[in-house]
Amino acid sequence: MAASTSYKKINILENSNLRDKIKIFKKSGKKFDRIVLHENEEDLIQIMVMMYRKSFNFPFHYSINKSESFSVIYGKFKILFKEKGKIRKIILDKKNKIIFKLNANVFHKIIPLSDVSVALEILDGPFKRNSVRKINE
Amino acid sequence: MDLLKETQLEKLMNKNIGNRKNIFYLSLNDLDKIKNTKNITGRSRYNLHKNFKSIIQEMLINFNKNSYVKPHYFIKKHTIFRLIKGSFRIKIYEQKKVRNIYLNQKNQMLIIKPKTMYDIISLQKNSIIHELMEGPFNNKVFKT
Repeated sequence: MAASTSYKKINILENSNLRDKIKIFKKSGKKFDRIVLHENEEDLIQIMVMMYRKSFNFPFHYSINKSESFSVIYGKFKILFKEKGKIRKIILDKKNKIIFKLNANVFHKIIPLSDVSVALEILDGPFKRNSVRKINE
Repeated sequence: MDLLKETQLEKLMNKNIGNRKNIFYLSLNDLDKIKNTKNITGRSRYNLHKNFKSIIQEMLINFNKNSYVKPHYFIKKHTIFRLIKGSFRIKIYEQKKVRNIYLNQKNQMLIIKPKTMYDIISLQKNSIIHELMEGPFNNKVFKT
């Protein structure tokens, strides 16, 4: 999916552009899609707009040895994460927590609560294939 | 660009609220709490990265109205600004012109490529920006 408005020295993510992308996503019937904002897989900042339907389901996982930042743009999420053997939860939306950051290998699960929920995800680069560990794998 | 002595830097960094946790989350209310910890520049910040060596240096910065960061650039680093609250004007200094970019209700985020000169000013009281930069942190280019 095409990303932001790009100039020689900068890229801009406009809200109107983002709204258009969300509309296209809604009509697509997909459960999940992403807008990649970084330039290539070698970039040290891998930054993506993630769009989820409520039916999205992905198991507990973590990105191996990468920090992960997840902040809400639109809608509402429940984040489950494992800490000291217990499963804890937080709600992510504009009224509650707005940003969730993992600085270690912590199993977590993203549960979109709105019909369409949108977040900004930032991962340490460069991109590596098979760098996600799912629970019970 | 002013270079700071190490002791000055430590003093300034101590005013920032750092993060040593593996799991970290914040609300807008948490961000309002740092508005009274601003230093002489009219800014205060939450660091979300674990330490100066982190691959991504990520922070949330609360600006007073008119708090201004002078024109500067990074040779190898991208800078990413995402609006959380309020509004900002970022000037991009190109070879023959200056481009004004506003982070406000119209624009959500700006990615600035390496070797691009820019400055930034807050246009509203207690504006908050989410800033990302490639690590490690280098105090020789630290902007107060």
